[in-house]
Parts: sequence; C-alpha cells; structure tokens
Amino acid sequence: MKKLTLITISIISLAVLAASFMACAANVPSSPQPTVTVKATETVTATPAPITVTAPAPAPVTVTVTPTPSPTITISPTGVPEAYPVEKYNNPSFLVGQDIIGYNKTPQSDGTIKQTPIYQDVFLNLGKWGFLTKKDATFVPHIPTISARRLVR
Amino acid sequence: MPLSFPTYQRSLRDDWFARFQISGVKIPFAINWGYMIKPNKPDTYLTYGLWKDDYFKNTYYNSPNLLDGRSLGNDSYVSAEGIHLQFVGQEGNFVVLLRTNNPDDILGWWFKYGGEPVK
Repeated sequence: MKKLTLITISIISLAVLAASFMACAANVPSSPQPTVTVKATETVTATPAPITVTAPAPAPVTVTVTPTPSPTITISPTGVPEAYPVEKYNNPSFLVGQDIIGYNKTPQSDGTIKQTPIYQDVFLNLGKWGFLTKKDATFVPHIPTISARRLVR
Repeated sequence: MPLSFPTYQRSLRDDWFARFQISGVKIPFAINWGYMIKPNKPDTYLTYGLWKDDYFKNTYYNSPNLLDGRSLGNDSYVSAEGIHLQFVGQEGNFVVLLRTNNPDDILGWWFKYGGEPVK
C-alpha cells in the first residue's frame, strides 16, 4: 500500500513537471523548422533462387501403321534384249555372201513345180580394221533441209 | 517493201555419222553393219549410207537430202540377223551415215570394216 502510494505521487509529480515545461515552451518565440535530408545507400545483394526445370511428361507415342503398296513386278517381254549386243559382232567374222543350199519345191495348180531357193549366209574371217557403234558416232538430231525452203514476208 | 527471210523446214530425221580412213589394203574391202529396232515399231526405219568424205562435207550441211540417193554401192541383202553387207572398190576417207526417223526406237547399230590384208 505504501509502494502504490509512492508510485502515484511520482506520476503526479511528473505530470506537474510536464505542465510546467509546456508553459515555459509556450512563452519561447518560434524559430524556423530545420530541414533534414536523409540519404541512405543500401546495397542489396540478390541471390538467384535455384531454377528447377520440370520436364513435361512425355506424350504417349502413337504408332500409325500405313500399309505399303505391294511391290510392282514388271515383266519384260521375253526375247527383247536389254541392250543391243554389239560385242557379239566385234570380231573378224564377216558376212560375205549367200549360198543357195537348196530349193523349196511347191506344186502348182497347172501341174508345174515352183522352186524357191533356200539361202544360207556365208561368213568368213577377214582382217578387221575398224568397229564402230552409235556411241562412237556423231549424233545430229533433226538435220536441216533446204528442200522445203519458203520465204516469209 | 518488207524484208524477206528464207526459213528452212526442219527435217524429222536424225543422223549418226562416223568417219574412217582406208588405205594400203586389198580392194575391195568389206563392210558389215547391223541394227536392232524395238519390237512393234513398224514405222521406224534406219538407213545406211557410205560416202566419200569430201562429198559428204560439201553436201551434208547444204543439201543433206541429196545424200539419200547417191550412196557408194548398195546393200546386198539383209540376213535374218539384220546384217548388211557391202563391198567397196576404192580406198580413201569415208563417212558412214545412219539415218532414222526415230532414234528412240533404235536399240543400237554397229558397223565394222575389214578385208584381206595386202601381202
């Protein structure tokens, strides 16, 4: 009880002291308020946050099967060579003539017999001096001709 | 008076030609030539001509149609294999001329010349 009384007295004393100070301050002439400029420099160090990349989940793989057309088989006509066999003739065997080796005899309506000769090629080996094919020749497409000359006016 | 320009109709034929030279051989020498045309091409033809080189050079580029009827010699016959035979009774510089109306139909042709060598 005694302690509470002492605290109350102290508060009252402080209040009286503050009132006295305010009364004195009111009697002092006013002075201009000072301008205070505060410059502050702050250094901020930013530390990037770790980047976490999350890969999207792989799309489901769809396999589409397209039926391929069946292979086309081209059959070359039989008896048609792929290339003309010029090698077959690049030799000294020359055709030099024909021999008649016989006759076909055909009875006619008038009783006579018609004879048709049967020929056979005769080949002979000669000295071969040259052999050419169209690969060795000069090809001239669509030669000009003066047989159809006309004047354009 | 407008100017007049002579124009020349283009031939529908195509030619192959090759030159060769014969000298110091026994006369006559022989020529064989053959050809093969694609099957079922009845409108395709191939003709052969042998020319002296001088006549060919003086004629071909001026009036090539003249070459159709003045070949040296004639083909003797045609064998079953399409081989032609020609004997040539002179030597010199020659030109072989193969002429066709459709080269795409010609599978190929060959030409060879030779004879008995001079002893």
